[in-house]
Amino acid sequence: MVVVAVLTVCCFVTLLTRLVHLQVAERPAYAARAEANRLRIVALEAPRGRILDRSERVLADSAPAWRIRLDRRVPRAERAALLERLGPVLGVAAADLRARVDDPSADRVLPATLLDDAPDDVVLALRERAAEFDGVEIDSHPIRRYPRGRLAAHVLGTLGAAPGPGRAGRAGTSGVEAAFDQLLAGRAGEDRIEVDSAGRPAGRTGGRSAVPGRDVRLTIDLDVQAVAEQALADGMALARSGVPGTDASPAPGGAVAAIDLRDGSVLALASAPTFDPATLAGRIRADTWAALHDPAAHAPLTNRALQGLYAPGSTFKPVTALAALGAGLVTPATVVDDRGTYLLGGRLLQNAQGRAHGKVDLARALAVSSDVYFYGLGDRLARVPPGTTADGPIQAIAGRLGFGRPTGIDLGPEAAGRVPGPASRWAAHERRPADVPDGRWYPGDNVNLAIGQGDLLVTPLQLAMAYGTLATGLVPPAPHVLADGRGPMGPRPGAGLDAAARQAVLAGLAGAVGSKEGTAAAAFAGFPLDRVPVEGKTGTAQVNGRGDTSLFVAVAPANNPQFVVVAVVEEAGFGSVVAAPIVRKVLEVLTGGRP
Amino acid sequence: MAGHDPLLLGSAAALAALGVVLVGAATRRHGEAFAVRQILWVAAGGVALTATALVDLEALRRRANVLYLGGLALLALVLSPFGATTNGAQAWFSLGPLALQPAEVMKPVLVMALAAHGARARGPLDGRRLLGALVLLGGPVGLVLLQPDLGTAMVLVSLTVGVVAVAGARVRHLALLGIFGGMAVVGVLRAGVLAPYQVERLTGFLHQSADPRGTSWNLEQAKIAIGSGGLAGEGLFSGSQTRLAYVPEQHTDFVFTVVGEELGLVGGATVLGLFGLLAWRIWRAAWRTADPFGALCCAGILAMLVFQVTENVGMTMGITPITGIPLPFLSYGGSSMVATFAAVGLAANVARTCPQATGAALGPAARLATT
Repeated sequence: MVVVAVLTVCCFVTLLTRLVHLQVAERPAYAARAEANRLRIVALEAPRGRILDRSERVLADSAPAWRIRLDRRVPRAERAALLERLGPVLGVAAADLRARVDDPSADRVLPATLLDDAPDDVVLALRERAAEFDGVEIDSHPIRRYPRGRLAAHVLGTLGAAPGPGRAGRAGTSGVEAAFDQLLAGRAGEDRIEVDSAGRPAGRTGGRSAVPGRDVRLTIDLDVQAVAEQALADGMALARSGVPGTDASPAPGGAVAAIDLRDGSVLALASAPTFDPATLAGRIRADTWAALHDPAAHAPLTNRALQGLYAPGSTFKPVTALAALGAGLVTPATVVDDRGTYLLGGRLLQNAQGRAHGKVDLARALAVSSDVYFYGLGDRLARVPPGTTADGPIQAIAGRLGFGRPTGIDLGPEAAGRVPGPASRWAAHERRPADVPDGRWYPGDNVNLAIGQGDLLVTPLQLAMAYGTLATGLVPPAPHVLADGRGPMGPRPGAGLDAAARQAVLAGLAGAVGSKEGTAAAAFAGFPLDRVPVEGKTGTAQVNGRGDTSLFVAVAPANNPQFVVVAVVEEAGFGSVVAAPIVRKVLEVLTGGRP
Repeated sequence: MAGHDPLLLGSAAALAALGVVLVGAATRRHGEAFAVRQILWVAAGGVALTATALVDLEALRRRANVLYLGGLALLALVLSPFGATTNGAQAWFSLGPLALQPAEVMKPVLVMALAAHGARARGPLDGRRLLGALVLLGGPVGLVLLQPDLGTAMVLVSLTVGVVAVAGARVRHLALLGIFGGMAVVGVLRAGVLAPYQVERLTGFLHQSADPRGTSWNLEQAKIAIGSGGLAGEGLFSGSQTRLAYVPEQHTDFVFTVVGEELGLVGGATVLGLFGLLAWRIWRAAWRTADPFGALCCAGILAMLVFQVTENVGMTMGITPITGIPLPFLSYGGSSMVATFAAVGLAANVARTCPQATGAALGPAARLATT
């Protein structure tokens, strides 16, 4: 009997010891596991902040949209039939709906999203026939709306699925949406839902509501933007139709940028071809995606103003002129007899269209865009011994004007461009001998560079900022599209440009617009140049195997530089014919210079 | 109630009352039906307890064999087409809304039969008498295993060990039996007599959390429930594991997890304390009675209760194998409740009728063998 008693006591002591161990020593671990069992945390989408223009006019808004979802508790057997019935109502193939329900990245507990921006009539149809669609839920969630349609689509940018399971809704993938995602996104809320052992929701136990994103005000002026986009579209249409003096060209794309030089704010930034951001706001249809990425569509999602790389052609001549003046090869008064040809090492180089301009000094050479004058400068500059840098004088001036590196605009991604020279040519040869078999830099390369051809590549935005630097003689503040968020920043000294040389070049640019024989004279006929003097330069850049790029850059008013505007149109022929009129229209709205 | 042991009856009543509350908590999402029925089972148990507590022990001893044969007949009958199958075991008679589980009834009946057999020896159990006890055990164990109901078979074995040990079986006989028993267990596990799920359930506690959604799921959820309860528990009806049905079979075999989660260490220790008190009073009745039949009855009942509590509570905490053994008084179920009450009533009867002598019923040799 005593043994029985001892055994009994042993049993109870063992049980009690184990109980104490579980409930005291291991309690935190088990409590955490009980909590993990019990709770599912569901993220609540925060409405994104609005995107406004400089006068707070709405470019992008967040508005509630109908979302149609399927309750996952609908048994598998019924689900197939239900989706078959739903297909025609939603206008989506049943197979697509099945794929959306079975999406492995979707939550296991939450209802499966079938449509996230359903039209009212679909919702109405579902409500009327609710009995047929047991398990289909209709709720409302925020989605992007674009009251101005495609306007400034590239600036606004695109949205994609929010990264990570914690974040509900969508996140910016390009443009302002991506650059200022932190501000726009707000903070997602969460519902804490209790679920039972079968995963069925048993009640809401709390959470926090979503914090809407903050509005973002841009420097973009909606009116200027609209004019820029329309002018670009008109210019491309003109180039396509073919005008006297040009070949009919396809003009697949182009870009316009307008910047206020006083503070670096971007007033308009247009890129063509463009896209409808509304089609990318919610679940993106496969055919929409395919159309945007079709090579025949010419990359509509690319913002050519920041990412388009073009040979600048004659718009680069001011750089050559500054380099030559700085090296003492010419003075502004030096006269060259332009007979339409230049002999370089046994090769005969010609002016565009074989025209002979006769006697040209620096200003006239820029105004009429004499290639012969600049062939000579390029040839002679090749023989100037390099100074402190490994590259020549043209590369040095190009660097001071900001070519070859990003402008630092608060939108990404931005291309850096390329300024070729002896040093970079040799480095390329060392790196990729197969692609660059000859690492030497020839006078012919320098001559090509002098007229903005060869391996030289710039973005439209770089070109605009370079002309801003040239016109003001100051380092302009980095271009930006966010209106608020940084203190007032003006241009600062330190551009490193000789004032006299600058004035000589600017005289030439004024002549290109204002003198009778200037290349842009026709485009600016009737423009009140006496009130708003304009300095500008046309460019017609050759591209291997493709039509010429049409370029024009201008600064106005010349006596007190405020605005710089650039237009680039691909495969569109002469800068004077296509690009210059685009810039003129933008300048008209900017300066009130409408005739 | 004169002469009755208030601690013995009180602890049983307290446990049964607590059981109603726990079953209610575990089945709250289904309404109150389970708790109401559990109250009816407790009432039925009270009737059974009253009967066994007041009946003449001597008359019971003389009729022990009749009861035994009756129980055996029921066990045989349940295997016939009259019996109903639930959870893979043909263990029930379905009587309209009621279900009778003869194996549960067999537990107190076997105790009495063994006690009567042991009492006839009037001295230590020799080999022949021990063999007789094993024959008494063999019949019901065989029939119960055929259902198959391994848990009840283990209870029958354990209560037999309790009776024969106290009756004075030789130590070497018991040791020999232990060795054979151990070999039999290994043989059963290996030879494929049991379904694979049974083997897995029995050995699951040896490799816990190896398979979080399968066999170990029950055990893991039971441990989460008990572990998260802590010192004071989540509060009655507030445990998330219990409310949200994370512990399977919670109102029956895993009822102790309700105590653990909602009443914490305080509740768990109280339950174990009440069982301890009950065990002590049954042991005390056995120790003090002069009637060998009564003493052996108490020994069998004590062994039965201690084994069931240890096995059941132990399995919810992962220290013993998972078997379908109810926790006396607390688990939902009629047959078990009535059988347990009847057994405790028997012990109360012994406590009431023979309060004087200490150890008088057991021969000197038996006391030597067991002290």
